[in-house]
Amino acid sequence: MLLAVGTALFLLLHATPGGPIVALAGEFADADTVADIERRFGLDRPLHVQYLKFLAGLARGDLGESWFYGEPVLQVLQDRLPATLILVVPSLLLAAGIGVPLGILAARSRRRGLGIMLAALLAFAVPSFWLGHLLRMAFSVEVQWFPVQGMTDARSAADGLRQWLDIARHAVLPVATLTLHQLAYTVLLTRSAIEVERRQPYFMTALAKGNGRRRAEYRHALPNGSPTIVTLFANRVGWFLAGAVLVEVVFAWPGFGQLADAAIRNRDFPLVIGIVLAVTCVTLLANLVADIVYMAIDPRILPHRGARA
Amino acid sequence: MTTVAPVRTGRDAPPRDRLAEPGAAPRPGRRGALVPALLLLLPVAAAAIAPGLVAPFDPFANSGPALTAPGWAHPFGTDDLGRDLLSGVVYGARTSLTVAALATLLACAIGTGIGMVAGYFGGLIDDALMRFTEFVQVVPRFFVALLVLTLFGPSAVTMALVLGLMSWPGLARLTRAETLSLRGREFVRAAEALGGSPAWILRRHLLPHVQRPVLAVAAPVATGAILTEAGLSYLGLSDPNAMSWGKLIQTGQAFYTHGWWLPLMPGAAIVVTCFGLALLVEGLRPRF
Repeated sequence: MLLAVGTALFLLLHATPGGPIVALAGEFADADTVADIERRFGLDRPLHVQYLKFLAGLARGDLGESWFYGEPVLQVLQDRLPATLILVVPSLLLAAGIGVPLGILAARSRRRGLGIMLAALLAFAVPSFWLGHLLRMAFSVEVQWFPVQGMTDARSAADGLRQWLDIARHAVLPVATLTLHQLAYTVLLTRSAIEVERRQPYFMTALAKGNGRRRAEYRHALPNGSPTIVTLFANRVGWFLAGAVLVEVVFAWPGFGQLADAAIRNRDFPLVIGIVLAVTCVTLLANLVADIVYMAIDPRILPHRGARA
Repeated sequence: MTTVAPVRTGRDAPPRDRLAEPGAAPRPGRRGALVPALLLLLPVAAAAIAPGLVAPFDPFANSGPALTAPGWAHPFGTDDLGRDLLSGVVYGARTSLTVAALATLLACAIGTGIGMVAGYFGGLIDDALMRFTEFVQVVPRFFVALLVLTLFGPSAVTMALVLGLMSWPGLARLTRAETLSLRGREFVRAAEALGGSPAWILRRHLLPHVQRPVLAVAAPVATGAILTEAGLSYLGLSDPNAMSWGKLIQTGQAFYTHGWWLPLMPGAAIVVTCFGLALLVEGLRPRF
């Protein structure tokens, strides 16, 4: 999988008009400068040599050197990773933690579910970067509950717990923005999965045996519906990370998103490749984890069918 | 040249692909959703089809004082250069909906084709195609689009192409599941017995059946394309010669302390369109 992605990226980059040299040296660079840059980054070698070097590097986890930062791509990515995780992890947990119960509630009856469904469909239609901006206008500019942007307050030299509190305060709005889409998606898919299970005879049996409605839903319907929920939730991670990039740009959050934005503007190809590969890795990992969870939940699924990432 | 497949009755027909898309499960929708959906979508459609008739001003020309709040002359206000924002949003509709429509058509064509071939032929072809589908499904499409637009320069056509080429897996899975369930039915067997070529059977007998469910899943693809297009434009990757909702939000955001309406209105247009599409699917579902 990764090999295919890497190869596709490599080919794409070399099909570009202009290419890296124009980006680094400008459009009117003299031949000496161009040759110098070509030599420094190995661009004067034949294409297949470049490709093999690229693959060999990839296998060693070496993504090359960022043209703009002059540091190894992996290093640049590692520096930005924690900031992105601070946004992404709580957001995913919130989406799953609130979305599943809401979805079950929405599956209970058509009339009661209508409000939740409409809200979810509406939330689904809201672009994350626009929502982030609105939230900021309301809560940072109008009432000033939360900071406008950034991850820490530049004026405070706090450390330890205080610093974490500062970061948390900065993270509230971005996390809220980021959560909404995934939450709406989770509600919709939980509802449709649970609705199917509720129609099964075993659900009626569970109720008839004297289980409460809630117990029947959570102990009987949810485990049966969860493989679908887990898989589709993981499938959505790529979309979710795209949202994270936009939200980071809105709130000037120093993570992957901002890095991607800057790398694109600088035509820093190794870094762009690194980011796309990293995001793809995360997406694949999420799907792999989903498959493992899937097997843990549903013993009927055999490993050779499940591990298909 | 005809190969007769074992008869599959309803009972042992393969189950639907439950991972196709959450909306793909056959369930009753709500007819009542149709009216609000059309109320939301008709103005947007009118704007996209005939922006010259709907828009009061030229979206790129100065038409009043800068940063006028929404009022009678300018229902959505004007921007920092005195351009009418309503006209901008109206012309933006054309860009967004064209990209979405092209991407969706392309995705439908590829998804239906791959799904039908995989479902009909089965075996190795099915395995290979579905593996490929899974591959495309997990590749983060926003990032691929971002990469391609950065490299090849932003244009509406490129954007539509990339989004179309990346958004078909859900459709392919659905079509495959539908085809699998039809594959052993009598009319397909009869067509095979008549000596029909696979291409003819796929086109004349299977395509009409799989078209309808595909339509229900096409709307989310369009919604995704609209949102992705807006997001990419927001990052500055929009066609420089066309108005676009994402671009309006991006440029408007810089002036939000002087004109709250600048980022608000184009975003509202996106919400209206996507919500309208979602309601449309709900409303049309009983008919599919």
